Amino acid sequence: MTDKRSLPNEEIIQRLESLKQVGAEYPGDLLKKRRASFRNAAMGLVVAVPVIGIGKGLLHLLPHTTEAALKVILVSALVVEAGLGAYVFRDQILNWLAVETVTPTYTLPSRTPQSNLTSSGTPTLSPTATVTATIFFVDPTKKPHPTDHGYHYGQTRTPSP
Amino acid sequence: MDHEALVTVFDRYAPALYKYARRLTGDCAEADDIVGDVFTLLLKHLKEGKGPRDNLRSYLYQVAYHKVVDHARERKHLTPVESEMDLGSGESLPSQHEHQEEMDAVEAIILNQLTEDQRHVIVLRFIEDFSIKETAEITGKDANNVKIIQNRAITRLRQVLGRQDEATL
Repeated sequence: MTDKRSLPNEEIIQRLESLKQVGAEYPGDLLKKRRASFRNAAMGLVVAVPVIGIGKGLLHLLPHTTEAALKVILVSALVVEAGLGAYVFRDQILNWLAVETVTPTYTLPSRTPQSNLTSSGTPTLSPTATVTATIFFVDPTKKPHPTDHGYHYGQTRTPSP
Repeated sequence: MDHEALVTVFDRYAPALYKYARRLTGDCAEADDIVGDVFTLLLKHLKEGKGPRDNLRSYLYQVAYHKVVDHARERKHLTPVESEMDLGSGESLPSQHEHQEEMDAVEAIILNQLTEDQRHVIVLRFIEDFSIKETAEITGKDANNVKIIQNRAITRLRQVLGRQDEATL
């Protein structure tokens, strides 16, 4: 819908694109101040933000040459940081990396004499000692026999009738 | 990251952002403030882990766009939004007159004759060389909406420049 006075779109676009070359430049003093201010703020940020976070975000956004330079800087920074970290935390790292050698501990069984009861009721200790012992089998649930008058220590023998 | 890398980003984009802001605000101090705001916000976003992910230039212009809009609203010296604008009006505001002399006629028309949306779209598309998609991301508009705004702006420029050329003959 072009009237007689209107120009073709191409010419308009050409005129617009010609404006790329035109435009006020950043005044030198303002740019310097702004740059210094930003630089200071950026230094503060670098202290606060982990290295990789920013690096990942910005690296692939920059032109190739800048990206290459930044990669070198980043890798160097990472190497230095890793080295420093390794030095500072060397003891902890050693602890983490230390292989735990588990020395098996053997508890020698104490040689408890095994008693072999002979048919006569006399236990024989092997191999070195032979012990003769009278073994009482006491059943704690068993009540004493009524005819048991007691031959125990501290008891007076009941006189027989 | 070495802070020098961030300074490199500043050196690369600050002059272009200044031109962009200066073109749209017509004020060098305001444009300088906008550049400062853009890079302050960049640092803040990086600190919060919300920085640019895939297109740094687009991200910076997006921040600049919002700052320009904010400044314009604060000063209330821009023309109304497209829906409310009287396209027949050729009058420019007093604050814009100060800078009109140093601008090319086309640039003056962009500043004075187009709506705010048209102005942004035209500058981003044809002067800053962003694609429709990028312009849509920067301005937060739908791509089709950007196309419509662009077509209306070109129509408007065609009319005004055609009249102007005829008058000079």
